[in-house]
Amino acid sequence: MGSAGEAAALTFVGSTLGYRVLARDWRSRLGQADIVAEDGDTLVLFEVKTRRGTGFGLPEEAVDARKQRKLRMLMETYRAATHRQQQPCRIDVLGLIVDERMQVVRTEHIKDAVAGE
Amino acid sequence: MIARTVSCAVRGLGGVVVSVEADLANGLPAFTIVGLTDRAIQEARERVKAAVRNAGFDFPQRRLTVNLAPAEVPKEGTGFDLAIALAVIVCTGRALDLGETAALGELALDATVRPVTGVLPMARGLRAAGVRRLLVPVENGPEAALVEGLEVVPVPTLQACLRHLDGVELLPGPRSAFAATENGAVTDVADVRGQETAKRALEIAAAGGHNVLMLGPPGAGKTMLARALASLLPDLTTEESLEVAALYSLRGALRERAPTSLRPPFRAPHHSVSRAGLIGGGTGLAHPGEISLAHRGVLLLDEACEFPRSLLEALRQPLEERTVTVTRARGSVTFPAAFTLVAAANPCPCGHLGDGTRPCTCDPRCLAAYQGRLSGPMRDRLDLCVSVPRQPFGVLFAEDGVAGPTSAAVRHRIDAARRRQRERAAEMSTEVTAPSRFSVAADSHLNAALDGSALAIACRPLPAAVRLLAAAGERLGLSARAFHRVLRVSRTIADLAGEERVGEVAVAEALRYRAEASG
Repeated sequence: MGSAGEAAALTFVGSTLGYRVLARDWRSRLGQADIVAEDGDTLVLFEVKTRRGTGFGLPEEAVDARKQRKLRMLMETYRAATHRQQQPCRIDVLGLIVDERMQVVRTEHIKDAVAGE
Repeated sequence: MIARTVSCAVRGLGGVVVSVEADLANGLPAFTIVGLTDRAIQEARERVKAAVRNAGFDFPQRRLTVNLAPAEVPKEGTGFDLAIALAVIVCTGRALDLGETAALGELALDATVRPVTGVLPMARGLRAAGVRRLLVPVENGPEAALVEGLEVVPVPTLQACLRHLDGVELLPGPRSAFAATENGAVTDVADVRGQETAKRALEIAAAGGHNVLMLGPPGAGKTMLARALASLLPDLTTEESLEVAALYSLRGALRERAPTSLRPPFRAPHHSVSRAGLIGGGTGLAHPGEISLAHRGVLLLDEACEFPRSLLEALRQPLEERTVTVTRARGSVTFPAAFTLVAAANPCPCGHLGDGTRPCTCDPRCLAAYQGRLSGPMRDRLDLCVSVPRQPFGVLFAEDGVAGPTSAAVRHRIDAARRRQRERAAEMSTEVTAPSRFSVAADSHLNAALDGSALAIACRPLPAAVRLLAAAGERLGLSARAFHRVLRVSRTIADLAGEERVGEVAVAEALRYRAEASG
């Protein structure tokens, strides 16, 4: 389910939003960044959430406080690893809802979903 | 990018200029406010964020830090919202002309500007610090406009505020909502029928700044008389009236009293009042209490014996100092509290002691406990004690309508007596540096403030008066303190009569107002 969603997410970020994709599935000891892209000069880290149907709540609701903390750490690690500390940045959440045949029926893009501390 | 705007914090009756600094740094978007803030200021983050967006600006997607300097002054309340929002807007690169300009006001989520308390004292503080233009909520415009030399801009919304600052669409000045009217229904002494002794005591109280104890059965007119005392006090000066208005502004009570009113305030707290309500206090930084709202006016404690004893005792220090210092965890503040105290009480719990028509039904032990509520030290501060008996129907509904002189007529005599006291104080200050009972200079010339050597010099009783005092002292067993009280009161009586020295007549009258006489 994840990979199908991420392919759709990549298309969405690259084509629909027109961001420059820098990395996908970027890994560090802390975890994995689904997509890293650039919106103008702003560095954007995407957390992609895929759900089948909305029975268990919207995908973007699955980013809880613990996950947010993890995403912040991930962002800082990425910025340090790529020497982008001076670049404005933000974390977005991309919520995808797919049907039984894994077709994306809805895309929800939440800008600046995770604020700094 | 750093931006700086100016706002104000309240400290006692003064305003402390607060510099609002906003800094944008790279990092995950965050909004932090530092500078010894309270809960309301922390919540300003949400209000400012929403207001800036709803006013049509982009809220910066970067790490935003706002500092309220000086950082060691505790700050509270929602009045910083507008200044924070302006600083945020400036630090996103929008140029605004904010030279010599300060901003006060709470923001609603839709960017309208809401009124805050304490605008008048803050406006005064800002003006003293060199601020020339003040942005305030529309509702607070009139009170801010009382401060001279300040260009007041009442702002309805954040957008309108920016259009004004850009010079695109200028906002109208504050409406002068306060007509210089007498506040509320004023009780004139002529409205009180009979009670000649009490009226005379009030005249003396108003002339010399003495505190009064009135004893009488319920319904005899004690409250009305106390109200009338306020009408006997001389008009306030503009500066004094601003000071009083500033105290009301801090309590958000300007609706109860027009700030331009020159009449002394009258406050009559109920005996269920809390300590914070009477003396001053409250959560966070202290607010002025009833005794400060009665500053330069009259504080009536009706049913004085029903007030908790601890509350009455708490009044002793303000009565001496003419100011009150309230200490809170977040710091202590001092408010002025130069009021004339009128304590009214029933002579006993049932109210009929000494009333010719009905017998008193009180248990003697009960009676002693009741009268003990007013402690000795408290009675000492009540220079005049007068009984307010029930008036016969004949007096109350007399057809001929002889009402006695009006307040305005009596005030004439009082003004003259006060002038004499002021002149004498001016002379004496060159001779002795008398330790004054009062520290507030404005009232220190009044006879009620005379003490020790100053009292002796001011009174200079005539030989006949001295003989009378000695005889009375012997027969009545007057203490030294009671002596001083009689002397102070007789000095005022002599001043009212226009006499240079205190004579026999004045002393004889003063002896009638001793608190012990009815104790």
